[in-house]
Amino acid sequence: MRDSLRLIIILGVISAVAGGALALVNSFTEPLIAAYQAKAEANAYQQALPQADSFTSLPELVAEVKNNPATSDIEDIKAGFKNGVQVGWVLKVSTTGFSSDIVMLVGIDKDGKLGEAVILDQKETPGLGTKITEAEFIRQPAIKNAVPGEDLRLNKDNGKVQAVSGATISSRAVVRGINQVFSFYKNQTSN
Amino acid sequence: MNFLKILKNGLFSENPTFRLVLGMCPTLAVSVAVVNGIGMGLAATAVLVGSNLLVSLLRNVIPSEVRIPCFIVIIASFVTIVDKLMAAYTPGLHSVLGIFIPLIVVNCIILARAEAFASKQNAWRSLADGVGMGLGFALALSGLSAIREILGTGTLLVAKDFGFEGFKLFPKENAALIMILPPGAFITLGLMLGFFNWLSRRKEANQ
Amino acid sequence: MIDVLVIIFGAILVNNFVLVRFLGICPFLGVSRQVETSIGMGMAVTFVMGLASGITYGIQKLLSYYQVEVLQTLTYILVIAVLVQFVEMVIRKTSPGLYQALGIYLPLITTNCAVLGVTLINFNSNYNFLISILHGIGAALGFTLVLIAFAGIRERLAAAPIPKSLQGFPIALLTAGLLSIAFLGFSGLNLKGFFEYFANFNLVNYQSYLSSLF
Repeated sequence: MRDSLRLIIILGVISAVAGGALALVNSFTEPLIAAYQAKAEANAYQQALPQADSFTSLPELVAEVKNNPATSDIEDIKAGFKNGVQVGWVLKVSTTGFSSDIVMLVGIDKDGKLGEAVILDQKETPGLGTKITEAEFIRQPAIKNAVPGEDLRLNKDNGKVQAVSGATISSRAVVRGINQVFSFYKNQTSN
Repeated sequence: MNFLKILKNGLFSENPTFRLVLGMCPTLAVSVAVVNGIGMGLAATAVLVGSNLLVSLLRNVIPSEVRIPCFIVIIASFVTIVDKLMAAYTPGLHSVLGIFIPLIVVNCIILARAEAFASKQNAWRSLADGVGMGLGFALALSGLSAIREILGTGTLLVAKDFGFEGFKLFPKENAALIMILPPGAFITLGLMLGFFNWLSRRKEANQ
Repeated sequence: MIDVLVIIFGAILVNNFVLVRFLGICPFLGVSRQVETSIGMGMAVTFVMGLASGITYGIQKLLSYYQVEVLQTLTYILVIAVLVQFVEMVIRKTSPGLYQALGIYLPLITTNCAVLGVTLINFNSNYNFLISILHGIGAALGFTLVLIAFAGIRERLAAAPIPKSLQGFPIALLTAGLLSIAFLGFSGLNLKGFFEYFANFNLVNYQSYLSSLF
């Protein structure tokens, strides 16, 4: 009995010291990690809609667009403001690619001009599907200069967007996401 | 002298990857780029050095009945510390390595060294063993990932998070994509193990 | 329902733990020499992974409640170690037959990174209690499937003339590479579309589709 008590005490002491050490490390890494995540997110929004200087969430609008099949892939919406005047929106869109969900931020301004499409997360095939994140695809003129009302398509589907070769499905998912942004824009400006 | 001998033992003659064939999961999973291999190797080294040192210092305090739970607590604590530090200071690398950082806990190398070496040897020698085994693991990972990165992407040492563009060796279009996909990991490691077997067999035959 | 099926079959085929996610390689290379032992190992792992997924879900809720998420790795691995011991004891007391079949594999499971891996993936993917358990079982079934297929190959391989340097682990890894190429074919599988098609299956539409073909 005394022996097992000794075992429990030693195990307890080691665990307590370990817990204390972890709490200490956590106390100074946590703010750093939180700051990094906040900065990364702020940078991505800024990149998606460069002219804006502040963003606010629009949760009611998200519930609304979810009910419309043409905009149902939109996960989150933020309005971008410059000097207190709204200049556009940044939408978080999640579409199904080849082997994963492709999550991207797309900015669009009040006049319907696209900002940048920033791909936040994807786990497509390395070397093929992952090329959708490269400027050659995502910043090509056919995407950059597209305007709302235009039905964006890959050249394979009789459109003018140059797909990543060997990754048609991933490319199509990106185009689908951008079309959803255009549908959202049209719904917002028509009423 | 002894220190160097133990160090060399871990790096070459008892290399954890090629000789002991331990810790295969992270070896196969993260070896798509050299920077990931080095990052994973150094993270494991830090944990191994810390746990070996502490286990060795506490070897007379820890009763043998509860030694495995104690080792696990010690290892898991070091893993969490490394995990948090990497998330804070190298966030890009941290997100690439993903769950394989917490999974260092179940990396057989670390528990095996605590049990087989550190719990029986003094602190100085355990430190040497931790450094040697850890760097042996890092070396094996870097070698494997160098082959996969070169053949799979045509580049070497691309590390965008650290502001390093890497060396372009040949055009991407000529790279063998399969090398950076899962099958490439199995095939490359299999051939490397075979090559080291062949080397040591030839050495024995010459003697 | 469809989402559940997509997660389970996704874990078995598309994101196979051994061949795509590289989890559980050690038992995969170590145990899979005979089909019979592979089945035993697979059963033990399925049991533990299902249970561990459920329990760590509760543990995570506790950790979040007391705001000590930093202890996640530590508590998960201790819970898994205790769980494995506990399962071993219960099986030995209640079912000697099952213990005979699983007993020797149980201690090995603690250091099987697939178990800790699945609990971390459940957490990172924000799965709820039920989905966590089903994902754990699905992942373990995928592990078992590959383990048995691989054991079948290795039983044949034992009789093959292999160069001396490649015997043992090297040839096992090369074989796993070929198996992994086969599983690469699943990576574009549209499971959601597949199950939705059957959920919305309409015989009249299908008949008109068939008649349009001829």
